[in-house]
Amino acid sequence: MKNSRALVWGANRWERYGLPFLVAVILLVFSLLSVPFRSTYNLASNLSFASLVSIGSIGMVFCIMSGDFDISIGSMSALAGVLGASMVTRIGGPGSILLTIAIATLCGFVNGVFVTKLRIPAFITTLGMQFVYRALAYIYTTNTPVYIKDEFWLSIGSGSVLGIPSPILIMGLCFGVAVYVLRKTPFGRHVVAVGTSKNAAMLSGINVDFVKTAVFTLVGFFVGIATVVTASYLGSVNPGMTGQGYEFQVITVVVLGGTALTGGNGNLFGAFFAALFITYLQNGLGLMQVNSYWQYVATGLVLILAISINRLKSTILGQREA
Amino acid sequence: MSSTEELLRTEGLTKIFPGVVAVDNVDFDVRVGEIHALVGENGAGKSTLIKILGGVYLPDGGKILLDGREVAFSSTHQSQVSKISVIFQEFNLVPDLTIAENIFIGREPKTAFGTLIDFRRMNAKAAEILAILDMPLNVKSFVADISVAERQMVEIAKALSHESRLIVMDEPTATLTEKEVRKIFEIVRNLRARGVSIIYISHRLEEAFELADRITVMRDGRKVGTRLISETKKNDIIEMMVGKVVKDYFAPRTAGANVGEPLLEVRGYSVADGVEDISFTLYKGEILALAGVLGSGVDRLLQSLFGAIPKKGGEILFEGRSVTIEHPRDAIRLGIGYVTEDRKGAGILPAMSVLHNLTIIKLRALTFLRWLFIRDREETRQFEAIRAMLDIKISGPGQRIIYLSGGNQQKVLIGRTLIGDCKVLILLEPTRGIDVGAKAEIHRMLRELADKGLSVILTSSELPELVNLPDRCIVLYKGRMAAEFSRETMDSEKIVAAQIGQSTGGNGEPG
Amino acid sequence: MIRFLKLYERFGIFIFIFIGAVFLSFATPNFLKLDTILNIIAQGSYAALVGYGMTLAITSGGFDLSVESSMGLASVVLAILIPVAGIPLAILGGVVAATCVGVLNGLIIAKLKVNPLITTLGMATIIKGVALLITSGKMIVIKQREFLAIGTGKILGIPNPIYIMVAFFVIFYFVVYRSSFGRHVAAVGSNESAARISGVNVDAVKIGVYALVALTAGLASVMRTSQALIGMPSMASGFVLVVLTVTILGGTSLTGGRANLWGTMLASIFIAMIYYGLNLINLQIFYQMLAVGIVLMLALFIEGLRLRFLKAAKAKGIKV
Repeated sequence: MKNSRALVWGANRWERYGLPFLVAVILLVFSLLSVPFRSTYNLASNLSFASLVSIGSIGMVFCIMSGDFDISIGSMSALAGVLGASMVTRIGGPGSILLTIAIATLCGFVNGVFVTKLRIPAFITTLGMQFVYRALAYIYTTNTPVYIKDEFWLSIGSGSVLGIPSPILIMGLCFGVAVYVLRKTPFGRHVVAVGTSKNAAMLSGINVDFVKTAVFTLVGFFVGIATVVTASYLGSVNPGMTGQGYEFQVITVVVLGGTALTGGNGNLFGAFFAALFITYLQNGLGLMQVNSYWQYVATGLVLILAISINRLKSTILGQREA
Repeated sequence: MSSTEELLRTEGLTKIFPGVVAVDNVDFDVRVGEIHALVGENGAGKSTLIKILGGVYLPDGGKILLDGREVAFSSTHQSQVSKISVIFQEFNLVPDLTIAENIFIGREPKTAFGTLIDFRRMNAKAAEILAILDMPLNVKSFVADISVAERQMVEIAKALSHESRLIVMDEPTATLTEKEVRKIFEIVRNLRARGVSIIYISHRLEEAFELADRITVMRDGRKVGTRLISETKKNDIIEMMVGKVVKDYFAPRTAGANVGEPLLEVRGYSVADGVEDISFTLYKGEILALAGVLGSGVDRLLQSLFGAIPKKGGEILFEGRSVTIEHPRDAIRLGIGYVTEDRKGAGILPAMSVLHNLTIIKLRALTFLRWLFIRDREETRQFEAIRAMLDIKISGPGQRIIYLSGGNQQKVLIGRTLIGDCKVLILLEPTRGIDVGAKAEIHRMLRELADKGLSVILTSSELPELVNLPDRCIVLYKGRMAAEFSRETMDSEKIVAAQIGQSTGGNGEPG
Repeated sequence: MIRFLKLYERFGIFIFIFIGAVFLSFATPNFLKLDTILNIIAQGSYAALVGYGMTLAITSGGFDLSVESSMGLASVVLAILIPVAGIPLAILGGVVAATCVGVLNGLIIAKLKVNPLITTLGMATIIKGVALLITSGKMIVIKQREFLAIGTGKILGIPNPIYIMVAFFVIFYFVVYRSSFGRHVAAVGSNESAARISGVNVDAVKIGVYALVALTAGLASVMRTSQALIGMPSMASGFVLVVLTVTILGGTSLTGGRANLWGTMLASIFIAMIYYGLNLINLQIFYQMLAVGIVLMLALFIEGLRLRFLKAAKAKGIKV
């Protein structure tokens, strides 16, 4: 019988501990298989590295919770990155950083306006904007990479405060704020309400358009932060390369982390662990000299598997009709 | 009248879902050429029973006998092949296909080429069937463009095209006008004359009594009994449905109790595609019913008063002051609450808990400094107060709302409005799809709240509710006021007449 | 107004083409030459071909974001097989490879019930990886010059791709509007549960749909590869946007159930006209991307307005 007690117990445990468990497994497996993997340096630096995907996933969790998608984040990142990085000589490091974040936020806001005011379904709006943003990035830089010549900016990726690497601090801060907003503020509840039943939310007095626009803006905001940190690692922003496949990775992380695609409940902690999982997975495969093209295959499989597992779990727990 | 020859019989039919026995050892039979009404509260098992007959579910026990021979349906298709058609409430029609394509979906007549559809033959056959049932429809119209009643007819035509001997209809008249209901009755009787048996599920006893030959009552998954309509009375049936005598089902209110000053005044109000130049006054502590059939504009009027849709013109005065309501938020701020009739789609927040569902309206007020953080303890305290007042049965505040029964969910939705210091409560179909026991409870609750000063505007398509619950009833017809009835002048026939535009003079005139 | 909108639904795209044609003929005398016009139409034929498949997918209530990768895979398989098995078999191999991807998509969407966005997005990545693995990231040069004929050849002065575009238009027309499969696809897109209960094999329909999309992608890839004579894993960057744009611009509703095949073909010609125009002013390809993105946004916007207006009219009781 499908809903036997064992299955329900398993589904419950997975919902709570599945992701951390997966991370532990991957750490174990690769530690056994590869010596360089186990070095503290490697483990720690990958933790920092995971911040790239995890910070971007925060906004996406909110977005998917509210019932929408944004597949333009990679291009947003490229556009904001090139615009910000190119201004370094003129307005200095901190200014450019703020500019990058601002532009990404603005892109998110534009997406939000299109989705709410023009009533165009999100996935297709962002699909179109994806190309628009990237085209703009190409045009602005005439297809040449922009190098970051600012010490402050460059130091973010490798720097640390009180012994803790900056990226990890930023990641922690972002997650902390996000969890707080989600659990303890009316806005957080409103996002869940809009995602689970737009009509009921409206009739309860929630301004659905505002919530949705805000959510898309948040996506842009967190993507901006992630872009700043990434650019700091790489030292440059490239209109063609930056953000390629980013939306795919982020969606994988969000889905793997347990956020339901149907809207409603989101899982920020899950997304965090999923980001760790993906990062260590890719790192481990790389260290084992696996052809990097396998990573494409692997990540794609993870996405499809992740969502199948989520659906299975939801069905078992009766959270959805089979 | 029908014959006594048996068509279908179930013996000990049982279906178990996790945690509940939906159909419990049911022995049920349908005769050839009879109209057999099936009634029972929500959760009684009627839907599950017909789903088994329709091949949607496999029974866990018992057997089904058709013409005396045992059969089993492992798919909807098999059930159709056995000449049984089930017409569900939600309809199984494809909007973007034509009527003919819908009727013949899955078995479209093909041309010589093999996979290409022979449209001429298909359309002709479809037209034939519609003609038999005297349905004036163009088989080439898209289902998306026809009315609800016409879709009902297409479903019946579809069943007939399968040469069904048994047609099960689940609440066929729930959203139809009186005229459309008559038409459906005519068709159903026509079917009976042709030897087709009908199982007719309805929450409207009057219909069952008018139409059916026999009536079966289910309760808690079991069959309570089957009676000949001619040998039984409505009260007996209700008693069988509920299991106890429900007194005070509609105890009349002490006339003129606690009705105060004007609270909400609507002047010259118009809504696009809705109502034109409506004016009425709602008094403090009164229960006002707005009645009207589909197309009368009642729904749109109320949606507009709440701010869910825009108005075309007119004015609203609340507590004497002119107010603008352009979004539900404005209405809520004033103290107007709204409970939708579409509980599942626009009422509950499925992914959230009962607690969150109930408090969603009042979050800002419960939040420290309105922006910082929600005060959990205060939230739970206020939730508990409402829960107790409405007697909502839950296993805990964190229980997900989807696990609650319809009646309890409705109470949560009402609670949601009350927690916001509601002064006017707008309820659309307050007890639709709710069992008799819970219905009575909700009516009693509304009475008590009105006695304490809450004003209520409700709409209902159930006559007994319209006649017995409110203090006043205003009937709308085609977007305009047709009649107004007070406690004393309230009369079901006159209300129905006014709803279909047959207002008489005298004390039925708008006040 | 209603009449205008109904006319727009059927002929709107003609208006666009007409305006565009007028514009272009003023821009350059070259435009009005038969050769030029044929070339433009031929350019649009790739998007049209895959567009037919995409139209079917959107009508079924889904969509396919993996067409680019399927094209890349087909191109690679093609290039590898030609020296080994000859041109006809190689073409078959490429198309079959693409179709297999489609079948996989369909299986995952129908049986595992994963939503099309995730499925095709994930599959796109996986297949991209597979194609890259096969060629180790390199491109494969095709030495058999006869192969050029398919993509660049002409019969009776009309480029081959146009024949293919028209031929498949006819085939798809019968499939979508006249066959039971096509009607079932519309049924699934319009009301899946009703279709299922009515006995339609929804799973088979979905698998068939995604297989067909991939098939068209494979065919388009064959034509493109033949033009370039190179097997490329990343053959069609940004193509999925173009295909989606022509489908939506052509009037196929995103909610499913209503296919506008005619519109898809015409819209692809229109987009080709835009490319031509942009080329005239010597703008780089990035501007093409930008243009298509903007066109998509506009098409969606107009579609949204049109639907809202029709809905409001219907509520008024006006027969639409």
